[in-house]
Amino acid sequence: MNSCRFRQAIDDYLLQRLGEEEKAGFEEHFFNCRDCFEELKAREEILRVIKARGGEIFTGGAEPAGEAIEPGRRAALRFKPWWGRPRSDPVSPPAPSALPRLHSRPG
Amino acid sequence: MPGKNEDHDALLAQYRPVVSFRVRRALGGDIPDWEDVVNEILTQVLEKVRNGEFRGECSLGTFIYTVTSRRIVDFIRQKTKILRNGPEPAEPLDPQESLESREKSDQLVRHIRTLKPKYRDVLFLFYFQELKREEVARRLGITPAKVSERLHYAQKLLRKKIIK
Repeated sequence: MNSCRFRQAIDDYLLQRLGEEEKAGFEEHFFNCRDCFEELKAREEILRVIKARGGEIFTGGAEPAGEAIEPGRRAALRFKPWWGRPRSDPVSPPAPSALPRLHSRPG
Repeated sequence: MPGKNEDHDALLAQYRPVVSFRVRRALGGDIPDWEDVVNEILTQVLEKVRNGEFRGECSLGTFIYTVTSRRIVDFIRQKTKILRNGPEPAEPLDPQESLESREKSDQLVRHIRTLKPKYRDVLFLFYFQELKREEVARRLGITPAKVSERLHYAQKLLRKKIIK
């Protein structure tokens, strides 16, 4: 197993969370460390596919048949891609009886 | 000297993947010239090694990293100049290559979909939604260390399947 101290930096590098200096340091490192480079390549491919086809992977019937999603998990994953959101109902005018009478006359 | 040439060929073959990765990441893999840039870098490295410019003051990897980074900066400068005078038309991608990469990506999609939900969940939150490890942990009610563990295991499973 790769126990290199730079291993933690791989995801941060791929997700562009490193500062300029850290980024350069990590790049220099993977030119020198074959293990980190192999790991980097593999994770980059996974990330690329997930980013490009995440809608299909995670919302297009990704759940195997019969697999129940417990409520907590559903809340944790709450995600509605724009293409999957139902269109909100058009606003229908309220019934006249429901409207407050603005100039009601006494009596 | 054939021995030296063989050494140089081996050197280029060894560093080509890492130079290609760095160049593609910096310039984007869909630009047609990225492979030319990689070849230029490797040729430059070879010349510098032959001329004795690499004196072993740093590792060879660091030396190649420096040459690569400089060439990338130059390339971006040149491109910026060209783009100011009007964009170049992009060349179409190699259809064979796109077919292969599509098949590979289809395979990976299938593998991810067959992972257990607990692994898919961390992949979704961490990579697709780009949440930080701590946020993923909070959402799933597990520790950040557990998130790392699941990510690592999911990646391991996927790598195994990709290699198969």
